[in-house]
Amino acid sequence: MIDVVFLLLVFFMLASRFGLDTSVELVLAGQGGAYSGPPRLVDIYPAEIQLNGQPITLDGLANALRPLVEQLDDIVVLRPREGADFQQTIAVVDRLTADGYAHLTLVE
Amino acid sequence: MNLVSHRRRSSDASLIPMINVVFLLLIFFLLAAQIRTPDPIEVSAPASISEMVSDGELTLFIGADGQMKFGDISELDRLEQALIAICQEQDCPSINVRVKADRAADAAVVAGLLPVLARAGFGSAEFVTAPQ
Repeated sequence: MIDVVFLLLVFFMLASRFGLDTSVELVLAGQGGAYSGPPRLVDIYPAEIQLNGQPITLDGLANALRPLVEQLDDIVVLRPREGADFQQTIAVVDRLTADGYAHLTLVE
Repeated sequence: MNLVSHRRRSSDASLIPMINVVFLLLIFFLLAAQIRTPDPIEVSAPASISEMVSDGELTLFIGADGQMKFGDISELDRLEQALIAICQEQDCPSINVRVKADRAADAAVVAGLLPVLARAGFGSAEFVTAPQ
């Protein structure tokens, strides 16, 4: 019986998962209400980030976006470029979310 | 003279605390665990500071090589048909669709799959992340 109990224990230890996945939510392009105001296009390149075509640091991004939005609910468009991996995109999403931008969308 | 039997009895007795602990662990795992449904492809989610809990039935997997998997579907046109079929039965704008993309996947490929979700009628997507 002890053998069986050990077997069950090992099975449950291997087959179980704790905690839930976390996630970030992004609006799908064309579904999140009307876009208004000046362009807010963040290009994510493998080695740099550009806001409306101007290179910018991740730290400076939120401040540079501030004059371009009327409120933090305004949509900010993220466009990953060839070669940028998904982790970089999520890093930008994290930073913008931490700075209060609530509606981010990802376009090709 | 009964040294042997005495020793055996004491070794049995010394097993009991371990059995107690094992049972306790077993019960803990039984109660606290959910059985993991294996992902159709190996995906290591990107690290994020987000603490929003992700919960949803529909998950689109995207592997590090850009390979897509939704249920047993891995072709783009069949994915679109399947999503449209789902949206005819259910109220898609209110359903969470989860996208579990690998951290090393090309983000342009991930972004390229989103119009399919949007065309089917989903309003937003949850991107599964891992706590840092």
